[in-house]
Parts: sequence; structure tokens; C-alpha cells
Amino acid sequence: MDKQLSPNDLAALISRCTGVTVTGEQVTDAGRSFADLGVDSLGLMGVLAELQRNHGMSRSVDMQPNQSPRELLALLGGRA
Amino acid sequence: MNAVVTGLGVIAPSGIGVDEFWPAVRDGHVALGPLGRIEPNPYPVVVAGEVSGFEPDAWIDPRITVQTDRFTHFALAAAAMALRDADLDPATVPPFGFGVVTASYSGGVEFGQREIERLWKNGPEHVGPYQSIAWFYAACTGQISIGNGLRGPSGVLVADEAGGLDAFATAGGELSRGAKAMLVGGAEAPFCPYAVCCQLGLGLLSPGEDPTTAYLPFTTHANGFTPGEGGAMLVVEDEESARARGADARAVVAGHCATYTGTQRFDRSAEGLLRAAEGALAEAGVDAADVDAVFLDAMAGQDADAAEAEAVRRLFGERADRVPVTAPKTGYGRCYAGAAVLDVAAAVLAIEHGAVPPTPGVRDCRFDFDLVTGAARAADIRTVLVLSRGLHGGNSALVLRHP
Repeated sequence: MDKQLSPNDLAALISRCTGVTVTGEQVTDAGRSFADLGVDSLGLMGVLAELQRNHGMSRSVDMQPNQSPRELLALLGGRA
Repeated sequence: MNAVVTGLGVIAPSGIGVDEFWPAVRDGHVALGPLGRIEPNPYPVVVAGEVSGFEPDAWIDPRITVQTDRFTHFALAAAAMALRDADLDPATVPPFGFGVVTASYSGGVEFGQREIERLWKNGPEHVGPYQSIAWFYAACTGQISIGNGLRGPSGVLVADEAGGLDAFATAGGELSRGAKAMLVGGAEAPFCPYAVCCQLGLGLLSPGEDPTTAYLPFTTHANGFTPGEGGAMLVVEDEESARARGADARAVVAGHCATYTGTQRFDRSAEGLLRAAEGALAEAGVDAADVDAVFLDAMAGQDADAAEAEAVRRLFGERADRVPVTAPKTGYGRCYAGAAVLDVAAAVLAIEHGAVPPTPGVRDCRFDFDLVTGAARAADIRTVLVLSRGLHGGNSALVLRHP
């Protein structure tokens, strides 16, 4: 597991994979889900695949658009 | 058909938007050049019609740009232009009364190649999820429908260039069954190695290396067509609905007919084109004698050109050498399904401006028909016939009339 991914890193990764412009602040907001940010299920699938490929995230991790980037960040060991 | 064109959106090598496209087409500007999207280019097709200066972000939500291929970027942008040109807010149309029909030949092939390369280089987990929707022929129809909230009858036709005309017949049918408005058209972006290899397999592409002489249909030098990218979307409305909202009818989509004569059997397409033209004129309620201009398919193969010239000669009889015929696509390339839609857009503009645009680059036509070359020909145009063939055997004709 890559422990170095910061909120800003995750925000940049989400933006790159989905085209949705996301800030580091938004990914640490527990009240904001992927769906709230405009990331749909396919977009989230792309984000998870990227984390699994290049950031050592377990292949067993699954998330839904109604969950928040903050939850994902917690799984990655980032500081929320 | 009681269908009228009320808006045009064009993305072509000749220009982005009607304000760039029409002057370039009218003046016979040649927008062909070296195929630049594949560098270095190892393929025996050197000249192409490429769209330059197109910025998807000016037209499309970046979220959608990431999810879609270049051909869909073109279609979405053209649809936005067409709606603006028609001054039509989709929210003002009954929700199930606005549909979209596009034609496609290559699909989202550049996006698809990128993802397939990831599959065989790195494995299935490296394929992005948007591959599932981006490569698909129906991607443009789907994204235009979703993006503009169009819930009316929608579809996609895959029949190469002929499909670009058939899309107008499909839309006309939906309008006659109760739809109020349709976005109709199609776009292509066929310049990635996989797509170019597919096209080379047809054996119909020009190997010419000079943009001014590579694509010369109807001459003794005809040696294949130059491929292009781009396309157009048009707003086509039920005539009464357009009138009720005070929209200007730019042209009437008056008649269509399609025939089939076999894959690459261009020797048989004379009969097929002739019957398609006669059927379209009959549906429009006009005679061949009423036709003021013809937009040709212009495949630029010796057999294919001869067949098209024969169809024109048989359709017009003694008048065949006096009806202006043209192929503006020699200036920007044959854009597969997008080509016929661009012809329809050019035909609408020709009717509006009273000018038959020329066939850029062509000088010595070997057939005894009145091919417009050099400069545009001023004319009072009431009725235009657009002819088109699909590489796999379709022959289609569409009649457009002055409103």
C-alpha cells in the first residue's frame, strides 16, 4: 500500500481519471460523496483501477458512488 | 416528409462552424494536407483532411471529454452549434418529442485502440471502464441525447456515407410519427493506426502525396479518395412546430430513397444510384427536370465515377450536360458517414446563398456533365439532389428544397 498519497494527490488522480475537477479540500469533506462531486459509477471504477494498478491498493476494495473520497483516502492510509 | 432544417452545426477540415465552413466551400479552398495525427506515418496514405484548431473544452464538459472519443467530441460540439443556430432550447420541446439520429462508420476507434493496446500490453485491469461506451457506434447519439435531455426516438445507422443521408429519412419518419424535433447527422475521427489499416484494406484510398492532386474524382487521374474527419449535426423540425415557435425554415427535407447493389460492386451502382434518385424525387413530389444542382458521392475510382456519371446521365437524359453537379468534398476529404451530412449542410447553405460551390482541385472532368469547378456558380436553387454511396453497397439519395 502506497502510504504517501495526499488529499491533493488523490484529487489530481480523480480529476485525471474522470475529467471532474476536484480539489484536495473536497476529497477530505466527509459529507461529500463521489456522486455529489459528479463522479459516476464508471468513473469511480476507473479511479479504483488506477489505485490498484499504480498505488498498490488491494483488489478487494470496492466502493459505490454514494461513498465519499474521504472514505477512500482512509483506506489508502492518507491523512484525512 | 414535412421536415425542415432550422439549424446547422459543422466541424470540418474546411472550418469549424458554418461561418468558417461556407466561405471555404464556396471559394473552393483546399483544406487537405499531410496526415498529421499519426507521426511518423508508415502508411501508404499521406494526404488527409484533418480538423485543426478544435478545442473540446470550448464545447464539452471535461468529464464527458474523458469518457468519449474524438468522433463524439465532434458530434457533441456540432450538436451544440446546431441548437444555438436554430435558437432552440431542448427544454422547451415536449420531453419525448425531441430525438437524435446519427450515422457512424468507424465508431470511437482512436479511444478503442488506446484501450485495446492497454489490454494486450498490460492486461485486462488496465482497460479503462469508459471503453465500454466510448468505442460504440451509438456513442454520439447516446451522449447527445443524455447531454441535452432528449428522450425522443433515437438511433444510429452504420452504412458508411450512405448512412449520413439515411439518417435524415429516419428522422423524417420520426417527425411524421409525432416527434417535434430531431438532431440529425454524424461525425468521424478515423485517424489512428487501427482505423487507417481498416481503411487501407478497402483498396479505395488515394496514395497521392500532393494535397492538390491526391483526390481528383471524375478525371483520368482519379486514383482513390482522400479520407477526412469531421461531420455535422442539423436540427430538423416538424414544419408546423418550427412555424409555431417562429423559427426560420432553412430548407425542406423533401424526399429520400435507398437501394443496395453489393459490397464494392461500384459497377452496379449506376442502377442503384439512379433508382435511389428517382425514388427520392418521387417522394419529394418533383421531377428530374426540377433539380437545380446535384451533390455527388465522388468516390474517385474509375468504375465508381463512371457509374455515378451514368446515373446522372440516365436521370437527366438530354439535360444531363446542363444540370450543375459538384463535389465540395474534394476540398476536405471524404469523411465517411460524416461526408454525406456535410454535403447536406453544404446543400442547405447553397440554397440559402444561391450558389453552387465548386469541386476544388478538379479541372479536366472526363464525363459530359456540368461539373462546377473553379468558382461557385450563382443560381436560384429550389431543388437539390444529394447522392451518396456506402462502401459496402448502399446507394442513397436525398432531396432538399427551398422552403
